[in-house]
Amino acid sequence: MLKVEAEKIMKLKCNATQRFISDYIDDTLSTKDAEKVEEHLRFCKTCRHEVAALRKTRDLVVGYYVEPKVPDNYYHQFEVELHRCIENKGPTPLYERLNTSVGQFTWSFLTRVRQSFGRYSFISRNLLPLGTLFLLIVTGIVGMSIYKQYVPPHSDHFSTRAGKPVIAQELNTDNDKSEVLQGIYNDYITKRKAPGELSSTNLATDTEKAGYWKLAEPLTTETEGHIIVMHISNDRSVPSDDANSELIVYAQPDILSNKSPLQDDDYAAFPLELHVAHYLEQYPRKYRKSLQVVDEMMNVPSEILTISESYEFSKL
Amino acid sequence: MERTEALLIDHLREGDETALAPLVDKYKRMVHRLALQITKNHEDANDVMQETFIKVYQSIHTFRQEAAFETWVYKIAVNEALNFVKRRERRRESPLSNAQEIDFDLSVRQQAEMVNDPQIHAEKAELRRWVTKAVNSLSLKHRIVVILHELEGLTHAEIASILNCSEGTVRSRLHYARKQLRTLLKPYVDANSNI
Repeated sequence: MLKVEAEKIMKLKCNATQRFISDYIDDTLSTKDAEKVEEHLRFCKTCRHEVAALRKTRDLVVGYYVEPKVPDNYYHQFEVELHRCIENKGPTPLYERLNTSVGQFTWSFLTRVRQSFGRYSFISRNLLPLGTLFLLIVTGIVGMSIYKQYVPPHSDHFSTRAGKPVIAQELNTDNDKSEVLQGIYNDYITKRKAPGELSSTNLATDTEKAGYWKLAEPLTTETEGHIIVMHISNDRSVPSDDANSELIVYAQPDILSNKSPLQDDDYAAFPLELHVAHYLEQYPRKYRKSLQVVDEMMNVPSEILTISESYEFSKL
Repeated sequence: MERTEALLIDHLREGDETALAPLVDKYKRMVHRLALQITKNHEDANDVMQETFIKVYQSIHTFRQEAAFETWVYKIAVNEALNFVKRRERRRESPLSNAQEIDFDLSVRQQAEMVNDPQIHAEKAELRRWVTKAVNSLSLKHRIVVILHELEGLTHAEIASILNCSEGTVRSRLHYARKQLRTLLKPYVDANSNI
């Protein structure tokens, strides 16, 4: 009868109490749960016995568990060994150092920001990913700018075959090149205005100057190149549009270094024509053959070249 | 001038290697004790302790001050010790032979008892052996909880953080481990001795 009454009063049954016993003996239960357990224990001898047994077990473990014995001088030897081990690891790999540096920087950055904006929990919670993202973006931008600075831009309009230079690279408008090309161009202009002065003497003089003629206008990205068509032989009767008798010089590195693109015995290395070529424009049909020569000799696809001006020998 | 722990951590984070020694000095016993209790092997415990402090040194920049440094060190040590045990199990090496060789470290009080009352000392020595054996016979996951809670005095929340599990799991494991220990230590638990 008493037991039935007690069970009515008890809010917890034995099974439920068992779950709380461990926390009860550790005093980690809430006041409300602890009261429920105590109420149960007042009427339940089995659970009381269980609590006492577990409490004693805990006390035995805490009081009688023996820590393993450590040999004398063990920790000192360990510290020496640890120090040696850290030193022997040698220089930390670059990526680890970078990782550490970024970590240290991020940490100090976050700490300072957190101190400043500590009350904005959203910011402080998301600072690590945001800070990391920010660093990645900055690193990417710096990397791209460095890459662009040292790697020349690649042009889709020109190709490199058999180790020949990519023409687009040769057409960068630096001052030296412009100066060289300008001289060549001026020389052509002069001869164009006074064709009657051309003679064998002048021819020899011109031949000596073969490598020093310059173009008047600097090359730009729009003016992709100046095609200088030269007669290899001294025979001026050869038509200028005969590709077999011409040498196409297209901003050759030799010219840029003040050397003649022709050999010393190419006596008649005389400028015969000068074409100012623009790419991505339609070119007149009559220049197509010259452009084929350009294609063959200079590895420049003729399809992308256009001749906008022409100075022919016959006019000089 | 003695540096506080927070200051030492800051210095270590900034790359000051000298800040490691005081931290090692403070936590070496704790780490070694934990490592030995988990691995039950002197050599492994030594390696665990070394790896733990090397990791502390190398990963200090990842330490967030939201948790206590002590808990962080515990976490590294427990993980390292568990890795060693797993590796050893993969190699199918039995730790029992080594565990039996571990000597007991008697405190000054215990040594005095041994001199004054050999009979009580003998009884207590036997009890110590039983208790230690009982704890060591628990499964790894239960033993770790008992070690961290009963012997190291960590809270459920701290243990949950170290073991990457919920507090409920920690409570459950602790309760189960205590019941196991109660069974293993039944003669001593039920006896009304004056021990």
